[in-house]
Amino acid sequence: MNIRTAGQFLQNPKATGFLVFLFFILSATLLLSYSDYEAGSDVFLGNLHYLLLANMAVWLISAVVSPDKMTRIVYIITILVTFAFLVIYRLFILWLTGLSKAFIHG
Amino acid sequence: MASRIWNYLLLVLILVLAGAVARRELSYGRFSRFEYTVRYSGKDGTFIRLTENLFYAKKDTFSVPDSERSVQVRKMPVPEKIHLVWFSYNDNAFYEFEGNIAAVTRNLGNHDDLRIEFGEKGTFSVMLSGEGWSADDKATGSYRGKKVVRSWPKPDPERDKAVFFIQNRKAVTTHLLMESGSELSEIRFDPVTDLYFPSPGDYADSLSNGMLLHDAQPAIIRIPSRFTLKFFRNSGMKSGSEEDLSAPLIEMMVNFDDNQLYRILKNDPDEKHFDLKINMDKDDNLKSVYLSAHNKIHRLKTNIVYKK
Repeated sequence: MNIRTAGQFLQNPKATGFLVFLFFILSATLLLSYSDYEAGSDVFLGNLHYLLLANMAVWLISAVVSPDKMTRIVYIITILVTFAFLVIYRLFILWLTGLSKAFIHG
Repeated sequence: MASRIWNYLLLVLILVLAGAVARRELSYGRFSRFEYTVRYSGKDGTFIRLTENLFYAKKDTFSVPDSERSVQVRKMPVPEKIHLVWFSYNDNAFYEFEGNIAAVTRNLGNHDDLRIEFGEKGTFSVMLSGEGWSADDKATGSYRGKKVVRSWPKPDPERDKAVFFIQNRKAVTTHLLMESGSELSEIRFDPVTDLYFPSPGDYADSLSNGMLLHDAQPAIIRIPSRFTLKFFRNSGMKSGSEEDLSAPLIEMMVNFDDNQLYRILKNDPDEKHFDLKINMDKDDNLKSVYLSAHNKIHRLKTNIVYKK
């Protein structure tokens, strides 16, 4: 792909989907790289919500600027599903913390 | 139009992210990091206490925790330099070493063991072991520490006693007198140095004319801090009858007072050989324990715990 075709690609509104996906993959890779996941660290899971919130912001802006109604609906659904996941994940963590406290205190 | 600007903006963000990932991975050196275990020990009969230790692995450092004798390292470069300060109970002195051990450790791989074995007069060896290592491999290096002056770590006042027990090895011949018809099953003596360093115990497995034997030879042991005696109690049946064989096994653990042992040995520094006489009464209760050398006889204080 030369620079001209790259420029044409970026001018296409449909390219946003691909770029958004690439952003998600790279941001997750960066977090994994910094979190020493191989050494059994829980930094990745501890910061997962920041990663998802940043990506949700990107999806929201993409939905706003997208000229296509269908694409907008797909972004909104993705945001809602991710938000639901975040809420359930948070409740799950709270439940686990409560369980471990109960276990420690007998 | 807004969509195009957003695409360019996203591209910039992606390039920044890709740059950050590449920079992090290059500085981290993921493929020169390994999982390995670092442990230390004293050679047979050498007792040390590691008071300071730091392993330099490129930009990272790690150390073996005070309460442990090993540490499992996860995803670290191999250590190239070490700083060690240790106290040798055998020499009653502190030693320090700071230097390069890369000649040995550069061969370290995943799941290998890096062992530091301390010897006498400040010497120690760095050894690699693990799968695929044989004795012929160049996986050992010998080093020597420098004698230094350090203060003894505060919450442990037992230094003098530990040094004394470790430096003064006395041989003890053991005797057991059982007045009842009970039979010895086994007797195990835990050496007094076991109070400071776990070490294997001494055994006797048979009794002949009041003398304890191990492998048909008189049982000569190290100064014990306690002994565990197991015997079959005679239930009043004739020896060899069916009931006699099923008579209960009694186990008793007799603890000595290590302060008393310390005093006895310190007052008799030239005495190399002692006799330990354990006397049981007709009902298989412990009557007395004596430690003697030539004409001096010391009755040992005892604390008995029965197990059944």
